[in-house]
Amino acid sequence: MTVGNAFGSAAEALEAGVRWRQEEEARYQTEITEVDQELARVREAIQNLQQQLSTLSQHRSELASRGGGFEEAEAERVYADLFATLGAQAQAVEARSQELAAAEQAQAQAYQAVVGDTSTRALLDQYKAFKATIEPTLAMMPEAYRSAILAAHEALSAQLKAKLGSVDTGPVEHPGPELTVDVLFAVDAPEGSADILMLVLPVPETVQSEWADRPDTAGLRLAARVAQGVYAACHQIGAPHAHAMFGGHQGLLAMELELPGGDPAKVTAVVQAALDAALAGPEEMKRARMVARAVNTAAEYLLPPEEEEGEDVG
Amino acid sequence: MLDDLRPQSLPEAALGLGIDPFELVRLAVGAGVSLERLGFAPEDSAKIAAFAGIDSAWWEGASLPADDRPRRARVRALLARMVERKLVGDSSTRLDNLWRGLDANDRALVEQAVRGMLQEGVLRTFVAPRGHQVSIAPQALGAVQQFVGNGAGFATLQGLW
Repeated sequence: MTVGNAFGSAAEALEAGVRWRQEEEARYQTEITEVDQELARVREAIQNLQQQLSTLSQHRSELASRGGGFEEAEAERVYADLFATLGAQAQAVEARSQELAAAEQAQAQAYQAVVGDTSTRALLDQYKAFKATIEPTLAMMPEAYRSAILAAHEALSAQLKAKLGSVDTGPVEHPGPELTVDVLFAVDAPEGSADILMLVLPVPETVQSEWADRPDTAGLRLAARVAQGVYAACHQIGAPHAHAMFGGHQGLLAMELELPGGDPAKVTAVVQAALDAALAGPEEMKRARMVARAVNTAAEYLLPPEEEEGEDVG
Repeated sequence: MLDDLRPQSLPEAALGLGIDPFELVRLAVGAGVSLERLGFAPEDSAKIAAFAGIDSAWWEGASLPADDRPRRARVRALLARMVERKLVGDSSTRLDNLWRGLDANDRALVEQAVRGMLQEGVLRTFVAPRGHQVSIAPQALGAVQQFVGNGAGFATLQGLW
């Protein structure tokens, strides 16, 4: 029960009652307003969260519908990057070829000058005549006569060696920085056994398609070394009849060769070893300061991405 | 041969043998010719030619039969030479020997004719370590001999002459 306050008069008590009610009503209204405002804020927050939930759910659905697809995307990306890399390397090989060409031409001219000299020419003619007509009949000659002929030929050879030995006929030396390039290869085995050997070289396709119209270049020599490695590998895996097909892919020289089957890992190891051997030792590459590495990769990285169904490929 | 004599470069040797440089490398590997220097002495080229059966004199001494169509005469001469050399069935020659040494026009004609005769089953081809081989299909020998004799037959090749 409320304990009353004693006022000076009844009128004061009545006034106090009215004032109290007015104050309480005002406080009540304030509180109601505050709660309503809070409710509105909470509702707005809930609405925002629901919007976020909806957006995230939609994004989740989109991600799920993509189903990953990273392998395909990776192959497409790696394919593009590999060919861009080899394209740049092919340009560097071409540049190196041109840098070597001047020195090679000078060397050839120096050789021709010596060989074209009248005295050398005469010695060479004698040498060739011996090889063509006398040497095949040596076995039928009397011993003494044969010895005299051979002695004369030895003297002739010594004279020729002295003349020709003054001219460098070996590979030309390049003074520049080392140029490192990659030869990509893949053993495709769609059915589980080695089916196709694919290679992409860091040289332009014209190295093969226009070889007769081009000089002997560093690019051609590099491609020939790759072919040497490939065919050596073919002999090792029992495919001595294998013939490579050549073509251009994105402007680069590509090789393709049918394999007789076998364990893809073993075939890959043989090809890797044969390419390493063919590319590691050549004097002409060392002197051109070129290093070529055989890099094994997946066949899908060497093939263009498949077109989307219905996409215009024209 | 003197080691000091400048060996032929890869394209020089290939041109000399009438094959492309990559076929030359393939044959060199098969024939066991050293590729240490990637230069080719005459002995190397001779060894490769012998291994591959490259016959630079394939057309040497061949005469064209009397024929009112000179292009047909060339194809008759081609088949006459194959018959004469008994290139039938398993006895074969390198495919590119058939046009080796011919001028550009005759070469194109022979290549076309050979393609047509392969499609018709008159000739057969197969791959061997020494290169692509060609021979007369045994069942077509009679037709070939008739064509060689009087130019009759091979209706599908008429367009070539």
